[in-house]
Amino acid sequence: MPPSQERPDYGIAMWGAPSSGKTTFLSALSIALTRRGKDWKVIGADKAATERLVNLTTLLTRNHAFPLATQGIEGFRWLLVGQVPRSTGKRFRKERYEETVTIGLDLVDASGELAGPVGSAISKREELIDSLARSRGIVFIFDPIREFEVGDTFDHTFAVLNELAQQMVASPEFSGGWLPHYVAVCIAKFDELRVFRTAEKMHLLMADPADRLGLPRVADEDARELFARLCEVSGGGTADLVLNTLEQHFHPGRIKYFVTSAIGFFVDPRKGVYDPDDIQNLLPSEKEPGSPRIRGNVYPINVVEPLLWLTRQLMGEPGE
Amino acid sequence: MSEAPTGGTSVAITAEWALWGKTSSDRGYRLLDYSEGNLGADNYSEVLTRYSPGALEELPQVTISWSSHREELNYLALAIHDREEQRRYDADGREIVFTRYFCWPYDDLAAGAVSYMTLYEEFSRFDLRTQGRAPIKTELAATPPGVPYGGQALRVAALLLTGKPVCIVGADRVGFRERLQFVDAVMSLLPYGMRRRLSASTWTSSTLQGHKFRLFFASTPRPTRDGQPGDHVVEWGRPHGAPTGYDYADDYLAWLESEVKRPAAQLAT
Amino acid sequence: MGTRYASALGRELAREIAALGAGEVLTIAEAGSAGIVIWDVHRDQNGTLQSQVWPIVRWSELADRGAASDVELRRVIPVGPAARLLFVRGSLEDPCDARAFSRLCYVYPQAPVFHDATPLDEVLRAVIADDTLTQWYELVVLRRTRSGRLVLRGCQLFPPSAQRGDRRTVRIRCEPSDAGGTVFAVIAAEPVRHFRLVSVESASVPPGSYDLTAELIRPGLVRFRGLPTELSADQRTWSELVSAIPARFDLPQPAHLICAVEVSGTADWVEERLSRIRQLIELAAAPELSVSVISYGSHSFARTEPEEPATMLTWESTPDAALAAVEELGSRGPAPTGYPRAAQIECVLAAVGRRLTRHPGRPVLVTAGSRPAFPHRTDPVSEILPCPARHDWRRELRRLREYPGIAFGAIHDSDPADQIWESLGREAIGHAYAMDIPRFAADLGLFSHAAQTVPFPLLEKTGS
Repeated sequence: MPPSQERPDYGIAMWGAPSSGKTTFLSALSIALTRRGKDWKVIGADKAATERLVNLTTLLTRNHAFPLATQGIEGFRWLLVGQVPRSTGKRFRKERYEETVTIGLDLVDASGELAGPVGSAISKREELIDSLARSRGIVFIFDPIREFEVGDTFDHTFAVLNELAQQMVASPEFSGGWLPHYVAVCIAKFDELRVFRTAEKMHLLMADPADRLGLPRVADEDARELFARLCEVSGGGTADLVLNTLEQHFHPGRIKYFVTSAIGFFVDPRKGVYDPDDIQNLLPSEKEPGSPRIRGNVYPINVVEPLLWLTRQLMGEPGE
Repeated sequence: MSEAPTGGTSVAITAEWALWGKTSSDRGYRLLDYSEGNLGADNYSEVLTRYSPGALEELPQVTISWSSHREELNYLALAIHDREEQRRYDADGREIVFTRYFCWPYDDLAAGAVSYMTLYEEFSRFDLRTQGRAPIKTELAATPPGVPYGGQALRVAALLLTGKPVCIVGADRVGFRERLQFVDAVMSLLPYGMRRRLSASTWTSSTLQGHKFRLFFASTPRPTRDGQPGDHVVEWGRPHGAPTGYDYADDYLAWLESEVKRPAAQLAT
Repeated sequence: MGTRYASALGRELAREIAALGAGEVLTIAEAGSAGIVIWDVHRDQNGTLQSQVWPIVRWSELADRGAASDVELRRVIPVGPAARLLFVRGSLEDPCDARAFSRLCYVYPQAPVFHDATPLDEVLRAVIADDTLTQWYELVVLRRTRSGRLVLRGCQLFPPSAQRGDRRTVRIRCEPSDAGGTVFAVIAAEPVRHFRLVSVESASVPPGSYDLTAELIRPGLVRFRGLPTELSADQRTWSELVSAIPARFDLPQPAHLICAVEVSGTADWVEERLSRIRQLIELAAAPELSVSVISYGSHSFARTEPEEPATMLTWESTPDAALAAVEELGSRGPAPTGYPRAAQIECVLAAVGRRLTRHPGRPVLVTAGSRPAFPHRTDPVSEILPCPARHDWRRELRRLREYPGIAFGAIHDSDPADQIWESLGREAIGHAYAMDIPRFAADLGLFSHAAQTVPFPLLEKTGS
């Protein structure tokens, strides 16, 4: 472990419906950090966590495959290690240096079924609620494709939030009726055509000038609008309640919306540049419906940013 | 129905069962089917989730667990985690791993001391999709416990007495059957009372949080959490001579080492 | 028109007759020395004037009724209240006759009376002869579209203002005909695409081009000159004649059969497709037929899988060489599945478009497969990945359609759910497992035209 100033660790829980992409999100974290270049990297805090990190990353990069469905609740500790510029000294003699900062991510990745409307498996469900209650940061993964097809995001969200609130109502941090958590609401699967087209029609696509590949993104300021629209066109008819429920339980200043994709868009290795005529990064497998594979390299979008935002909020740093 | 080997006894048991998995249109795991009997859907869902070994890369694997039903009946269970011959995929294209769970009142088996390997071999024949709702009645050969795995099984048995779970690492290359036989060997060295409430798994995910297995194999040890006692970690094939640090465990280990040549049937009663 | 009639009667008759519409009748009562002759003039369905004469009513009959009432007198002339009536007074010497005639005229106060010594039939004949057509007369011909299909058309001969003796020459072509001969039918065209048969004649005309001169003898009669054989009336019904027209007729031109076969999929499907192609080539084989064989599969997007590219096995070769290529394909077995939802049809169309020249062979493209083509860019509806070369099948098809006479046939494994198969099978569609190969080939025009007979003359493009 690098010599550094370790901040107190706050748990970050991944929360979302089955196959919404929670585990894939984590798999893409290391790749996303590598692509960003110099500032941050992620390592495992212990052997088990390192093994997990390596396995998940290798699945994506070497096998171009998705992780197995999570069973039970997986917990592991990763460390985000980065260089942060600092300055010190008096007014006229400021010195600049770089400080190595380590942020512990106590990650909880629960199988999506546990987050459903309560059926059975009470003990594991309680464990999930416990782990959510213990954490202070939540990455809520919203799966628009599941919402189009099944339309049950609200059922999942409502039940869990109610139980969580019930568990924490006696806690001193539960003030003003708000749960104390910071929530990064991630609209996942931005690379899926239906989500991409919705964003396109709403004129929310933009290119990051610093990105030499020219990959499209949706600005964080516009993410909530896209979320609202995706809820509108969903199959269930209850999706618009999701937004309301989240904003009822979590303080609006503690929620931020992101449009994310763990695998990103297809970039033809021969051309090295994003081509809007050919954007799909998923290949159906030959034996339909076998497991889909990832077509090209993985270019995650907004996988690091939600975690960094959460950690900064949890550390009490001002600003975004 | 298996025939009792000549000279041995056979035990008849009636096993209740459950099937856990997904259909091709499901996204999440659930109880697919179960037998008539004392246990109901809620019991099965609870116990199958509690004793899940996590997402398994290599299959098949076996978990052994127990449950009590209404405070009186103690059930012992063997769960086989495997994929079907024709690989099946769920609604998102992810491979489905099925769990076949078989359980019976502990007392039915105690008399015969049937090994887990025998149980696995018998029950793995049953395709629960075509079983209807009836519990499975079968006869199993009572096998005397085999030769223990040298010093390691003794040590692990002694460590289990401390109440802390035992995690065995370094057995990745060893086949699943060998691991199951090891579990059999360890169990046969334990007092009867302990066996009733001992859960074991031939493999668990290292990052699986809060699993309840007392004896399990993994690729790396579990990270310790604040307030939780850590596991004993034993490295496969590397016998450890040092004392355990627990008096009663050390005593027990010493006694096992001296008595191991005696028929271990003594412990089974 | 009426100016050449010296008499007022002639002028009046011409005027009345010109104004005669369908169903209307002009009645002329001619009083002569023998009695009253009543004429009816009307137009038939073709607009041709017809006249009819009633039995003469003798003066003696009328005189007997000297004391008859007006009503009885009116019964003499069978005329309806709306009919037009003219009286023509010839020479009446007997004053009794004259009186009777006057009495008659008196009963019909609105009918004009003409004094004319000329026999009425002469005047009428002259007027009728001058009558013109009220409808277009057309000759029934067949026109051949660019793709070789035959459509029935009318070739205009005489406009409504045409007169007897008018002539018109058209250039037509007679093809081999059956026992009934080539039919020359004249129709009178009515508005809203209806027509009436004026005349149907036929003759066994040797195949060849002819300058046919049509002469309007009179309304209802057109005579044709310029044919080596005499025409005679044909007794067949119209529907019999029309059903003898083949769907298409091909000029004696060699064809270039291009077979594109999808070789991805199960071995059974591939084998079935190849066997159909083989049958087609064997059936259509002829000295002037050239054949090309192209195999295609699916694009592979997986790194580890090689791609089976669209391959031109032979181009413009003999049927035997093509059959050998098909055999060789069959022995290879199916290609790897690749991306399962589409096949490289767009690449095949692009390759064919590149190599096809204005070769004398009329191209016939037959595609045998089941999957649709890859889109040229990300397709949000089907979500099929795009062709790496960005070929656009719609654009390539449009280009190919510009080749004169090109025909498209499709041999399908499954229901044509995709729009591309409708276009690929524009002229003929068959299902690989149950197919009428001769019909398929005939619809594509692959059969030698010598077996076809054409019952009507073909209109040549050149000529007036």
